[in-house]
Amino acid sequence: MKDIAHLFSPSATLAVLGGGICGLTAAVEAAECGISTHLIEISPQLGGRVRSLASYFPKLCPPSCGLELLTARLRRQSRLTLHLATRLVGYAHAEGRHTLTLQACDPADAAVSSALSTLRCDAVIIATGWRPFPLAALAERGAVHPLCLSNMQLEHLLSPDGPSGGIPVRPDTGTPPRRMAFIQCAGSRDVNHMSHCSAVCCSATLKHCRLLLERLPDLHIDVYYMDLRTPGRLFALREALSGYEQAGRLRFLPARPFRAVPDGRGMRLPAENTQTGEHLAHAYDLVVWATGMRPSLSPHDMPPAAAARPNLPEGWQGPLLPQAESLPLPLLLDRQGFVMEREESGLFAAGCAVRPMNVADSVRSGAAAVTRALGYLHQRMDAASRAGASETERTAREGRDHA
Amino acid sequence: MPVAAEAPSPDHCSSDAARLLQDAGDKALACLQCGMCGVVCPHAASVSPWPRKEMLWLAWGEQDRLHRDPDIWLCRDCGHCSQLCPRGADPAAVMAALRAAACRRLSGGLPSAGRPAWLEAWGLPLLGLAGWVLIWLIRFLQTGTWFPVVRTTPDASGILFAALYPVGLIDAVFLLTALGVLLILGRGAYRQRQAYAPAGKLLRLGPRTSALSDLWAVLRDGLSGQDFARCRLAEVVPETIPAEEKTTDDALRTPPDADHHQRRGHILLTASLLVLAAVSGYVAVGHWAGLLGWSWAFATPLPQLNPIKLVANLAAFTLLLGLWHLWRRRHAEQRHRRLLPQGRRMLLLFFGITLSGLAAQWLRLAGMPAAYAVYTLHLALVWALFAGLPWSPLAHLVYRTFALFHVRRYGRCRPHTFSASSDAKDA
Repeated sequence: MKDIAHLFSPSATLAVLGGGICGLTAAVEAAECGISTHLIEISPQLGGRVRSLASYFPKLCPPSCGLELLTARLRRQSRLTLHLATRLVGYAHAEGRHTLTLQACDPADAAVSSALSTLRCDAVIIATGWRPFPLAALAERGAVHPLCLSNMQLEHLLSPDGPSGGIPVRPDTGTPPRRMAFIQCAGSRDVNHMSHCSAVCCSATLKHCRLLLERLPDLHIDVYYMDLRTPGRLFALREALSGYEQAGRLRFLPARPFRAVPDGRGMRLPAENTQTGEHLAHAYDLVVWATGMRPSLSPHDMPPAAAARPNLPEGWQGPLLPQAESLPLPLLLDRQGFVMEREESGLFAAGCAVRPMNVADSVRSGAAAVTRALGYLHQRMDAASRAGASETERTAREGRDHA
Repeated sequence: MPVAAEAPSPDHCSSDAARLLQDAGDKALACLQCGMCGVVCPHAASVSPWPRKEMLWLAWGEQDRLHRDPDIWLCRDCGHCSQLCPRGADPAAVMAALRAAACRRLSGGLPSAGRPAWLEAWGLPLLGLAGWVLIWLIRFLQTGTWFPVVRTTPDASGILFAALYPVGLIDAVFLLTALGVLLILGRGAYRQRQAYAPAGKLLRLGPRTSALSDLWAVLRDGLSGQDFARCRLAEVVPETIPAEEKTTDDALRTPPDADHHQRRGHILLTASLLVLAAVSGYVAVGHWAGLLGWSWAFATPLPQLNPIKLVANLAAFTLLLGLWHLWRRRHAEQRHRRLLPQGRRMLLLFFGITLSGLAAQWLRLAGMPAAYAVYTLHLALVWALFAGLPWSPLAHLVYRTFALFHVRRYGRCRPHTFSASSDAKDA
């Protein structure tokens, strides 16, 4: 580490936006490379969405282990400054340096105004992550119903510290479900909602199936899919489920139910099995909508202008950014709200802010962003030292001329 | 699968396929085969529903299967599938393009490749107009006057269309055209029959119904608008979005009365056209009976207060009302799906026919010679409607009826149900 650390002047500063697993990785890696790093997180806790997961796939280990390792590395770093419960309200760019205006926020009451502080840095890593696609947006497909839940809600129910001890129950009867359905691509790959594939929902569903079938011996599950997309080695997850498939407890149905219809005591899912051309209308105790990832910077999630307006002090002369942006940075977003990185700007993007990805890929993406940021800082330092050298040369020449 | 006896020339084939894709829209190939469209469709059968398989066949270029598919005619073009398609692949436009292609194929005619678009759109009305102007010129040479004003009519107005175009001439032109159209449509229906016939011998179980009762049931459902009764999006997708959370997007995506306009417009149009056809038949019979010297015969023009005349005028206004409904429906649907230009042209043609007919009548009553010119335009447009019928959306009169009749004969007419009380099997 020392070999790299001497390359940077102590003033080289990096800011990381977002304290999820990706931002945390990026901040720790950057600090270990000798850069003084500031980690800015809007919530009062680190860990982001990963904290709310029941387990990682494919190993099904608890999510705390990865976070604990990172926290241990974080503790050893004196160059890393944490800004928890802090949000970015302003941004300015001058002479290659970024000036971030930060404001401590009260998560309970966003309207409480507090003091502003400024942070000057040389590069910024954006690791703002994602938000779950809201079930309310699928109301016309019948997803707003007590017997319908999203995969993130199920994740919460499955975690050991969930409300029912890791076993989901029907909210009306309080009994464990006997028949459950998963509807894949709920909101994803749909031009009416998000046209991108969220990349993790299929694997997550396979993981959920395994956890549920292990814990509930009477449960039967149907998975309605367009096509199962399990990138990398994750398809092994499905192979691990083949025993349940042979036992008839798990079925994969190539169908897309357009609506969940309340029927008697359950939910019925009218659909066409596209392999057989047969019309299906099975009934279920619980229907899980495998909702996808919407980038946090998505234009759909822009808060109303009034709520986003920071409480600036009277007579504020500093930069005031367009409040329509959910993050006041000069970023290029694609139509879905994913960041299109421009390295020359010194703003680097990582994790689910770039594209939907699973936890392992997010960690790698965070580290990769640090590598790009290091290269950028190094080039700038080279250029600055060359400019400094020529300046000294010129003054020396002028001095000679004078003499 | 029967092998085509003679392979079509590659050029013709590719131009057909290209035209089909162009009509269906560039998004048609974005289909992911999720199968949502067939479930949304209120008419789709419970076994191998449409339009998913048609989307697949289109993408694969399975022309032969598409030719043998009666299901394209079972779609009533309500557009629910296009509204809810996750890929924006617009299955309703694909079905409409397939129907237009089927009309071209079943009715035959010149290949459309290389023809300018305006010629295809307005060629027939222009041809009709040219024909009637030619007849006008011939009559001018015969009578020696542009506007043969006749003073001796019982109608004091002094304008008599029969003096310019004798009834016999009109009947000859239109009856010959109608005969040709009937032959072409008959050949098309025969081709449909050949294409749809199942291979081998079919064993029918259960009670037999007579072909006549099946045909009657098809016509009854079609003419009464019963078919469209199921095409209500509100019944497929209930209002579950609270009003305050509704965005403008949602409001745009569910045009409130497109289905209502379609049903109402179709019923009004059909009823008024039937009435007008009956009136025309009655007038023709009266004319020819008069020539044969039968005492009860009558001559045109009928007095304005004659019940037949009153009914005919009423039908003209009903026609306008129906056209207005269909026009409104087109505008509501256009917001979220592609519509073929043929439909708009057909509506414009109908508007032109109705308005020119009414205007000719009013000008005649006012005694203005301009009535002859407007009447000529009216005749030209009516002729264009008749002559172009086998290739226009109106050909569905025969082709959809035949397809519905066919599936009724072969027992493929029972759609699945959405309702909570459905007796669909529960595994």
